[in-house]
Amino acid sequence: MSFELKHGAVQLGEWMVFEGLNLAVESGEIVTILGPSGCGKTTLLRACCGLERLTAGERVINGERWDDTTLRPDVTMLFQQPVLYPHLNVGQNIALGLPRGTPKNEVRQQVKAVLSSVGLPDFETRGVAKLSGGEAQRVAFCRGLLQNPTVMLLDEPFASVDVQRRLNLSSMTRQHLKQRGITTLHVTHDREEAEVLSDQILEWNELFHRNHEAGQDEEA
Amino acid sequence: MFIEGRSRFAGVSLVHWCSVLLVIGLGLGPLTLAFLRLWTVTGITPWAALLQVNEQPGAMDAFRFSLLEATASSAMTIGLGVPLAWAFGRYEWKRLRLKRALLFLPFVTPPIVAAVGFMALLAPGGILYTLGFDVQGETGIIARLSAATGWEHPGHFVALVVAHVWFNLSLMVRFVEPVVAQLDPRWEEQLAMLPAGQTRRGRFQHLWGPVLGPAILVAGTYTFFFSFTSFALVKWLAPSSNTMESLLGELGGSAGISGYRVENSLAVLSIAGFQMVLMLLMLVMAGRFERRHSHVLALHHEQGNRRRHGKASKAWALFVNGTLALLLMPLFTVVIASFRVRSFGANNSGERWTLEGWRRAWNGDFSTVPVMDALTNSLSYAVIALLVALPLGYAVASTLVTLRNNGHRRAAGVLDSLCMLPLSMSAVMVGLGMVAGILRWFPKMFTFPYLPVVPHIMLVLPFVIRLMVPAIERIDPVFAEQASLLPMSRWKVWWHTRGAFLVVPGTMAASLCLAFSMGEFGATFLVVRVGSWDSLSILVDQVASRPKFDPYVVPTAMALATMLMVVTLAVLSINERARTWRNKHEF
Repeated sequence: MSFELKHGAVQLGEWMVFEGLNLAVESGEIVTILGPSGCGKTTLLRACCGLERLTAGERVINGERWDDTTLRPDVTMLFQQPVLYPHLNVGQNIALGLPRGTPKNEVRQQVKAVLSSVGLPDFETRGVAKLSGGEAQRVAFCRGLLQNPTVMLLDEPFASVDVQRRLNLSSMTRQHLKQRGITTLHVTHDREEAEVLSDQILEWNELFHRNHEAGQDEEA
Repeated sequence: MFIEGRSRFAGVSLVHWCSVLLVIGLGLGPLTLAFLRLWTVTGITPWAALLQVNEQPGAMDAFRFSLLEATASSAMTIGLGVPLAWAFGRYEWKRLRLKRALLFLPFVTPPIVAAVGFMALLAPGGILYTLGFDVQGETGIIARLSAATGWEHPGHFVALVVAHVWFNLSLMVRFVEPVVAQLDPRWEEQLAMLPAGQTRRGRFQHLWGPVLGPAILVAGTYTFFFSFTSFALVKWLAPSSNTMESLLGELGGSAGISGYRVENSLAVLSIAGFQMVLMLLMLVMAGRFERRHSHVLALHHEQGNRRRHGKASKAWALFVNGTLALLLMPLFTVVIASFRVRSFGANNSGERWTLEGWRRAWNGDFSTVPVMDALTNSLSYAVIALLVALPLGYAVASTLVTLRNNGHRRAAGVLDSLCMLPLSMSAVMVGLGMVAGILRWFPKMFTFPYLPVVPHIMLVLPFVIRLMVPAIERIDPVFAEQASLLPMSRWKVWWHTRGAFLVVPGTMAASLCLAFSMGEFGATFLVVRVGSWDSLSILVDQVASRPKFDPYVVPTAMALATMLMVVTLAVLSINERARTWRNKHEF
């Protein structure tokens, strides 16, 4: 499924984070937006998935306009700091991604399988407090995968991991996303990670420049 | 996050708004009705009555006594409690949880049990009596103190202050210990490297004073408040004096009846108004001070902090263990006194051990309800109070947090103050609100057997709200954001983003509800008008009030107090078990 943001703008209080932003990600494509810290990348992703209200513009999934005030079950996001519920173990956290009413046996099998696929076999019963940054992020990614999303938004998911591991994780993530054909928008400030993970890289500043030029072309 | 729900006003659901209105109505309703009733009976407005408070017989004496004993109790509680909290928070202790539980025991002990416990300590044969504290006969140390100062009945005052310190010590530790234990050690290390941190005074001035001050002040305020509005302990330990609360208790029974002892109605109207204004002012000032001087503390894992400072020195160990032993003494004495009876020897000074007190307590007699009935009443009141107060308190706390997060700080402040109103009223005033308000206006409610639950709910609600608000505020909103992106039912979303994080504060709130309700005396004393509604704490008071020429009065009262203590602790421990409850692991 393709994802588009048309003339998107977000204002937080007095601060206009971005405006007139056009962005399009083709079905199954992985696009990375590269930008410095604090430029508004996270706000963009939050607006894309519906956690932040668009001040102007609209989101379009597969050609259909998506209402501003609802969250879609097939759009998910991986936060910069993995959000794992501390009162649940690894397996229980991942199981939250499965549809309601999934039989217990199936839950168990799917959780085992997805954990093995990211190199964390037998982690089901572990407490989340004891996981390293990379492990925690992989668990959050597993949960996202089990949601079976059509669009996944990645907010610098490997920022807290050392360089070598970051590249390995990026490569593994790409493999999973491509296998499932998930349309992905990824933001980071790390060019190397972007190059390993994505099909297309867009610079944050260029994005606005390009929009401006596109606008001028349209006017002409 | 802007996720929108259904039928919300200012981001708060209709159900939560209804809960807030119900809580405010519960607090304001009986009180307003009470003031209206007293106004009708006396023909004097509450404001005019407030200005006549100094003309009411005994009011100023009660005010002076309340002020003096509450100040002394607060000062002593701070003096003893702060070092205790420091020792608990700073050092590693064996069986820390047990020690904490023992320390918390007095706070959840019904006041009537504490009162009879101290009576037993001060009675002939009791440890304090043996040490020379003869409060009743006023010989020994008490006589010397009286002769030296010209003070009448100084023993009563000393006993009352000691009992208040005993009660409130755990409160001080509960507030101060977490701050000591969880403070980021880097603050202390940094200060040690600066010139200002080279002396003990400097470290206190620049670190510990500002950091611990708000917690000490808040605990001190509550101690002052509880001591100022003390009722059961004053009734038993200082019968020669009255606090404003016990004076209200004395006068309240005959207040609000048209044409009958109107002077009592006037006295109640002016004293109740005066005490309420005083308590409100104090709570508001303490709240403002706390907000102004509170610091965002960099919290650290407390086990790590304790490990850094290692085991306590022998002096600290002696201090902590000694204090714990002293705290348990009145409770042990209650149990022992339930088996001991004065014997009728030639000189009438001997004693013997018997189960007769327990037998009489169990069987009851013609003038009291059987113990099982009173116990059933106490448990029913406690469970109903819990089932109503906990969800209501959560709904109010959740509303306050949502309003603050959505920028409606002033509205949240006003609602918070209105919900806290019963806290400023004290138990007797709440009971009075019920009697002079609801019952005098709607006498048919005399037949409603669960009437005593209403003041219990009113009294525990502010505590539930106070425990829930910071707990809800601490929950990271990112959990809710994540949950909104996952395929979960509404119930699961609530559980994983709220419920699971509130198990500990919820259990604490539930424990307080149960303990408060089981031990509540002041309001129940006024509200209970039908013998069959008597709670266990009322039964202890009834039996202990009997003339002491019957040697079995004291052991029977002590046996009843022991039962109340044991049942309260059993209920609390069952409730605390819920705290360790976890989801059954599916993997």
